[in-house]
Amino acid sequence: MNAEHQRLWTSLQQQGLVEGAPPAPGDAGSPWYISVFMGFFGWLAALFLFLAIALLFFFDLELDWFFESPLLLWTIGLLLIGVAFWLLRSAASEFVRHMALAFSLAGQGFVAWGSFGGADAIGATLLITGFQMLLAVFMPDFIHRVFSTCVAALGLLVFVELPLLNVVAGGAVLAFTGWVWLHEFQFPRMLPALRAWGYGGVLALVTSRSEVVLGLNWSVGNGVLDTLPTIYGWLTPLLEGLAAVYIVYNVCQRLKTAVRVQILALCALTALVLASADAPGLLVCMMVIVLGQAGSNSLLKGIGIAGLLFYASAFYYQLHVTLMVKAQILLATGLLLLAMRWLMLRLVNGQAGESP
Amino acid sequence: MFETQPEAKPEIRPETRKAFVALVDGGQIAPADSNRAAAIAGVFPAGRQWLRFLDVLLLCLGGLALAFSVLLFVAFNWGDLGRLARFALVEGAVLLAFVGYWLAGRETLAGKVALLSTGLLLGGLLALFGQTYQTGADPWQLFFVWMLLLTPFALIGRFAPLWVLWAVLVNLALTLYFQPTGRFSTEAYGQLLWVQFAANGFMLCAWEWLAGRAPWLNQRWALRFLAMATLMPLTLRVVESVFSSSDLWLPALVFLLALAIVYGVYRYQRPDLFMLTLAAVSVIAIVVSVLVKHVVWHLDNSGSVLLMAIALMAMSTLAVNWLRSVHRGWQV
Repeated sequence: MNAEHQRLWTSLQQQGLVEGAPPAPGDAGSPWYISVFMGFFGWLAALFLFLAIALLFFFDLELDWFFESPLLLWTIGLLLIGVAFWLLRSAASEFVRHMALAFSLAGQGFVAWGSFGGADAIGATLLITGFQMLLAVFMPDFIHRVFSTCVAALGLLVFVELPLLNVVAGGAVLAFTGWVWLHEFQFPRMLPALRAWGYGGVLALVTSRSEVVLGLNWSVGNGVLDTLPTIYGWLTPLLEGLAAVYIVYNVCQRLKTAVRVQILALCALTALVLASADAPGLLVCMMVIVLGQAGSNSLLKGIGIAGLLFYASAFYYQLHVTLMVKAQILLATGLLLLAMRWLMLRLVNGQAGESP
Repeated sequence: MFETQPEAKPEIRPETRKAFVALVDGGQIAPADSNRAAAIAGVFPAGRQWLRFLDVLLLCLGGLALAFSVLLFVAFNWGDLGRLARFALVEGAVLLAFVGYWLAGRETLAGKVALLSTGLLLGGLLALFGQTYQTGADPWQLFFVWMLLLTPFALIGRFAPLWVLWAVLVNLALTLYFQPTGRFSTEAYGQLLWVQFAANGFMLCAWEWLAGRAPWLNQRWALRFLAMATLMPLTLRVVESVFSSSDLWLPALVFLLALAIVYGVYRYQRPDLFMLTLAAVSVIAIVVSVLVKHVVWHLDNSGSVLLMAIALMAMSTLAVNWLRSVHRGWQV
């Protein structure tokens, strides 16, 4: 056991939370860049595998009709995913895990291809989204779960344009992600899965707003959203705001803060929700930062801060006003943030401007 | 206002959180006790730590907003300003930033950030000079002069980001020197890759050597950045030689030598898994390019692409297995 484990074990033992000798050192756990490395090469290998199978049917066997049959595409896709699942369950070597990841990704490619061939665009996207949810639950691999959760969440948030779904999705995904990170240690058996769902949800939340901000169109829809009453435009930020209240309230409960602190936090949150209605992404990124801080998770905080800076910059860049007006808005924003800081420190310390 | 903790704890390190997660994952902590254990371990920050976090966040965001409001204000009025007013504005900003460094103190973070701002504003001043007087200088000369002017600030600042900025300017000057119009000729591209590898490699070696003597230079993120800037051009040079069928022996020899040095230094002398990961990625990239050139392009069927997939899986698995075993060995 290294020094950090030993120190931690000792402090927990003194509080009666653990007993006996410290456990033998297990897998050290890899830094995040090793996981990125594996994920990237797994994806690349899947691409080659997908191409190999496509070339086999198209050119070598000259069975190009194969790709016109959704049933056959689904069959081969499920077969590859089934093999991947079996390989992952056997928990064998790193090579096997890699191969399983590549098989699964290639299989998902065939499933997606078959879905779009066999259903209309919205139906296909819903089918893929639901399928990814199942994969996020059942596939016993961290990187796979992060990927599937992210794709499933993006499916709900962005890819599918359905009125009720889009209104509810933002708040639901934010609430789910918040619940996962606020309770990550309470279900030890599910800890690896919970963390994977948490990261997938965060990545989806932070990237989903870029569609609006960059003026892209990732969604598969029939234009029905444009015919909805104006109130629908307010329901989404309202539900996301409620999810944010849930997160902040839980953090306050954990800290056992006084009621007036909770009221102040609620006021700040309300302002953030209102600002986020015009500046997409601010609220979700701020909540990701809060969740990161709540669990001392530097990676989450980094993702949240990067997202916050991106969306704030995009908002000011895209404002249809003169540079002078932008400068004034930024000035007001800066002074407001510094005033909030001053007020916060004054309330806590009883003196203006002192840092804790 | 906040629950008082028995003692104020500093923010925990990432290793502490990892250690705690490992204990929870291993079932050593009962689920009912997990929140209390997390608070004791410091994984759940106390009220004072939240306060400090919000303090820094609001300060940085507020400061950024104010800084950009000034920039936009200047940009709005730029067209109406005369030559003297423009120079006065930019030079005033440089002076203000330097005075800020002086007043804040050279050892404080605020002082170092002010000095970094001075360095950045110098670039703006040079750009204004070039734009106003149309001296006919090449673009690379702007970055080269900027780099020269930045040097004394980097020397007195003793701040790693300043030296990273300095390294970035060196690379920009080199890139623009070899291809000022933005369209690379093959020969110029090849020369640029060699020069960038040599320059960044030299900077990396110098930084590693000095880091042992000056603790403020011992910033892994900066060294990793330089290592990426060193290995990437070398890898691209080898890949370019593979595809262009030009002389491969020299790039390959240099690559093998660099690989040996990276392995020796970062495996045994200055353990750093990120550097070893970089080296592994470079090796895989080169092997993939060789396979694509000599197998996929030649066989031209599904079997060759399948071979690529298997080769990729095998190589990345071998690399990850090896990296994890090295990491485990360092943990014990």
